[in-house]
Amino acid sequence: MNEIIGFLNKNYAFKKAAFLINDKFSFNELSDILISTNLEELQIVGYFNKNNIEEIESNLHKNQFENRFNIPANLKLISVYDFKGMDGDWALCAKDVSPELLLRFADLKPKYLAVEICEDRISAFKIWEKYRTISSSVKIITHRVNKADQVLDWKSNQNPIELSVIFPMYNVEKYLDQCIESVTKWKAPYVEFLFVNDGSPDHSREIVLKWAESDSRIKLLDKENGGCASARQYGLERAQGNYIGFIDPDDFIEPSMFKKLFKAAMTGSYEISYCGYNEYYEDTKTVKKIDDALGYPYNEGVTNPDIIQDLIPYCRVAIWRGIYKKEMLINNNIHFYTDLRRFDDLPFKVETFAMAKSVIAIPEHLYYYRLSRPGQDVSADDDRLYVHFDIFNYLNKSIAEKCDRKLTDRLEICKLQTHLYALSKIKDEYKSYYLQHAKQDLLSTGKDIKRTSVVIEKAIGKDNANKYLKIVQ
Amino acid sequence: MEPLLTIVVPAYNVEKYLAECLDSLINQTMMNHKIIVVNDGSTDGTDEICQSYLNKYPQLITYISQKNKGLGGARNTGLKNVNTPYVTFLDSDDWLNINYVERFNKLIQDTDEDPDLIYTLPWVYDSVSKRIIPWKDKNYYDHIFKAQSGISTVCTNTRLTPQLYRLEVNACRKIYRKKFLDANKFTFPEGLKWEDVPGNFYLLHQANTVMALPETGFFYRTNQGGQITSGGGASRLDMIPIFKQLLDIQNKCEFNEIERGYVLRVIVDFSMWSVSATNTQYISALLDGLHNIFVKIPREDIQFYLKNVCENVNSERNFIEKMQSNEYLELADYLERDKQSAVKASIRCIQDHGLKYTGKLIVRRYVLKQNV
Repeated sequence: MNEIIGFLNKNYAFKKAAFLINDKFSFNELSDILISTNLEELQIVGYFNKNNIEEIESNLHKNQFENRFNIPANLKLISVYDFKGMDGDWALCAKDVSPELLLRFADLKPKYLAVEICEDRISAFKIWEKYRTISSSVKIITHRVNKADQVLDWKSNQNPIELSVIFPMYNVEKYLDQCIESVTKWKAPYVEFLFVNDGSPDHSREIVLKWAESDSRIKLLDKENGGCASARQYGLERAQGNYIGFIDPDDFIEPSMFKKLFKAAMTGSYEISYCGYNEYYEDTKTVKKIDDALGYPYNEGVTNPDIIQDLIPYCRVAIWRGIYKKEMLINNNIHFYTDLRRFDDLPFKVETFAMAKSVIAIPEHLYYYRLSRPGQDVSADDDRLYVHFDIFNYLNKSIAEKCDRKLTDRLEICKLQTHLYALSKIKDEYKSYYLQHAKQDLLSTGKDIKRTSVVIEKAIGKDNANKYLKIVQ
Repeated sequence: MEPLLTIVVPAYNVEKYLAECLDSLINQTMMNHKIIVVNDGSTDGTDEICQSYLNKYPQLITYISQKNKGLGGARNTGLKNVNTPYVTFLDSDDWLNINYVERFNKLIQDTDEDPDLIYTLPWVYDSVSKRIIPWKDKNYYDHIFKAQSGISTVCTNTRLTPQLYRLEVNACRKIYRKKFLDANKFTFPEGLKWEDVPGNFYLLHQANTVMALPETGFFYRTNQGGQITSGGGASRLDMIPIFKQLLDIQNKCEFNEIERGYVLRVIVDFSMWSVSATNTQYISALLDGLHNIFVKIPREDIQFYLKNVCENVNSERNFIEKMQSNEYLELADYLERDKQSAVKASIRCIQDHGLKYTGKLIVRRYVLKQNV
């Protein structure tokens, strides 16, 4: 109720509202509305019988007599069956009524929608989809059993794009059809698919153009070759949506992935929503589910920064499994470091989880990450791995300079994980150089070795703490 | 009718929110108030926004521009220019309930009292989750002022209801009688954060009549982006001079033991919160400063506080003892308990007191002294 009253309280432009009520609605709730709002016209819409109406009206007059609130000049109690909407700009409000009723009343074209619903088979998202072309502002509060409420808060915009998906594209003609097919099966009109052609010499470009003929949501952006980071950044700067997703075009997804991500993010205004992913082995055509950070509390939605920042060590680097609120990226100046030739998704992961104020996980495995294909970049085992030091140089600036001890500790753990991964891959002749720099890097943000080892042991276990000590001592 | 109330809005680099704030002031259901906007040396578009509102509502708005003096300084400037019987403050990223002025006028009309302070109940708007929840102390507030369905007739003061000191410290949630402020020569501390704290105790102590507007306050915005560092920065250190001022007031006004208990409650609360939230480079200075405050607090006050006021006796007693002792928190205590390993002891210490706290201790014991 707070959000609806807050909404009516703050929108000075309109003075008309209809309030849909259910059988449990009490006079107290009506008086709450009247105390904190200043409406000229109010229609209370419910399943009334004669006694109902008389009781509410006598209560109203008693309270007005006692000068507790002003009754709007035009207050009507009206039966659901007779309700025909209002003239001009009006708000449809409702508390705990059946969502079917809300879907039906979309035909009455209210300019504003501010309603509370309970978790139901008809979701807030479905109601939003129905009202998105009708109303200029939609606010839906979802009550969940034993969990915090979620608020969907949306205003219409000149530009109808809500979600932009960016595909950094370079020599992927072999896999592109499968990717585009899986992505475009979801037919939502408020999505754009931005294929950033990073100077690809093969036929990737033509394939995208062919698909674009039959699906206007597909857009091709051409740029000179500059690497994956530069392609992602190029797309990010041109994306129109409020949420941004990334797909590597040699991978593919469950057709429902973006709908589920977007639905979860919208329903609770989350800054990040992410799902699980599968490793798909090209050579054997087998699939392996990856489970990380998909369970409680993340699946219920988290707003505690401490718990969100835990995702820095616990969630793998896989930025294509989520969508990100553009506003959050802009406010915190999160972007891709375009001079990084690989692993540009690592700093993106760390920075987004460090800055995000709310995240939600969808505990389903909806992305297929293609592995064991020839020439794949993740198989680097030489001095290309030195890129980690550049990455952490950037993160030392963006994260460690905030001097937040807990956050820096997580960065330290992330560094250790990354270096241990690299050391397990790297060829012997590059090892000593790497070790030396890894030591420097770890000490640059954690000068107190003993303390750091305690922190590491607590977060990721004794083995890793011992490995840490081996590197730095 | 002559306006009864002035709303002072200090504005410092708030181009993003200021219009929302001012809109709520010019759209009140009853327009019987004045607005003073103090631009506190903003460097963004704040000035243009103020000018445009001033052009549209020259009768309603007084606009003052000054060099940056901080929130306290800006409020003081506004306060000097008030010529209505009552004044309140609104931070420029918050906004006011639409019928605030109307409710306030009605209260003053109806009552034959001359309230010195009038409390309101703010609502918290979370800009990320978009939820609106009542202010933390709503239950307390409703209890003290017997507030229900928009009505409260309670008229009290701290002699009758010392629990008033328990209501959260916030200068914007109160409406002040101007003559009452003048008579007590009240100003906000300048150049310090937490400027609401000393005044809250001073004015509550001095006030004869305290009333309340139930359910009708402002909407308090939390969780704006881009302020992740502000929570643990150097401003935490301002707490120390603020506590000193608070203790001065306590001595000057000869607070009784209950009042001293509530003063201590705020000091302990704020200290515990700060010790776990302050960034590494300031933690030493903060702990040293707090130590100097805590050693000056008489033993009887602490006993009384622990017995009658505090909510969590064990952890708070522990905290106070550690703050008074020179080592603040002995890692040795933990080593006693976990004789086998320093690592285990540290983990336990981290669990009890947080990483930053432990970090500092370990630096002290291992790096500076090397004697564990």
